[in-house]
Amino acid sequence: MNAIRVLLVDDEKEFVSTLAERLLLRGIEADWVASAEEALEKIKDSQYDLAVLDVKMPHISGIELKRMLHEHCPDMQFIFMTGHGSEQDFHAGSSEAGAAYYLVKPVHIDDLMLKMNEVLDRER
Amino acid sequence: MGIEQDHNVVQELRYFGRVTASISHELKNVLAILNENAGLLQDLCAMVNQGQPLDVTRVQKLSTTMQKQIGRGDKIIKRMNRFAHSVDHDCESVNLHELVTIVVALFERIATTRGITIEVMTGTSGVTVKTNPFALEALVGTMLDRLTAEAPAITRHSIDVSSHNTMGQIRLQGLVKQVHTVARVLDSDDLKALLGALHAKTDFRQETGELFIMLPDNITA
Repeated sequence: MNAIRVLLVDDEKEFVSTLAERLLLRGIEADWVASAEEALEKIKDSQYDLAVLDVKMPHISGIELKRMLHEHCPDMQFIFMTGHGSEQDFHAGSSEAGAAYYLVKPVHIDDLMLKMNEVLDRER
Repeated sequence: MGIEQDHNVVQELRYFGRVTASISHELKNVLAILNENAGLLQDLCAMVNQGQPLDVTRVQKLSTTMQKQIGRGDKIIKRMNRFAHSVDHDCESVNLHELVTIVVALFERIATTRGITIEVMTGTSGVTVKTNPFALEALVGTMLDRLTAEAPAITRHSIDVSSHNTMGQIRLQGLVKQVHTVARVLDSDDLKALLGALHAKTDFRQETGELFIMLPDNITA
């Protein structure tokens, strides 16, 4: 079976780079970028099964980025990460995210792995 | 309680809520970084237990990152503490430069998300006025929030303080392209109520894009 290919997008570089490193140690092919603009560049020459997006980023939010990535890569799946304090805050802040998969920071890597499998299994 | 006082209380509480939400969001990011770094240390330990060599350079780098994030968290908490204590007194002597610096620092996360930079200029650092510190923070913070909400991305603003006659003066620059926004913001009832409570006035100079907030040197006089 092919390894899962994941693109991580978060403007907190020290967070997203370390998370990518930890996923690599677990056999996931994880790339990371620190902005929505870089993510849109990245998908021009790479394919991903899944994108893990921070909700609040400069210029283009994770919610808007999801829409843009989905246009280019209709098969790509998404998980949101949010720094909001609670699920309630997250839903209040993003009406579109109601049906989406998401994790509240700090992210536990086992929960992320579980969510990733759940999202991809749903599509298989 | 009169309608104007109602406006003030609601506006101040909204500002308090926005600032604390922004601080908690920033602290969550600090915790997220510490969590990943601690997790990677555990991963490295597990690898050593399986017989792989320890990458000491990587461990040192992780330690440096964690110390840096602890420093960042400490700064955020100090700022939050300072902000929390600004509600202690209804009227006290306020250093305008210090107040503006703290408001801009509290607003930084939101500004960054909007692609906006706000620079506090050195200006005149010794200007003090006797006023309500929290109401003034709410006024300056709410103005920054509303004026930058529709600003074009990558906009730069600067803010400084000075004294003019017996008034303390806060000047926000970089609003040339936001003439209509400024007019709308200054016309809002809640900001008018806050300005009234502080006995403050505003002056917007369209041609230079400068907005002045003028404060009496003593609100009780």
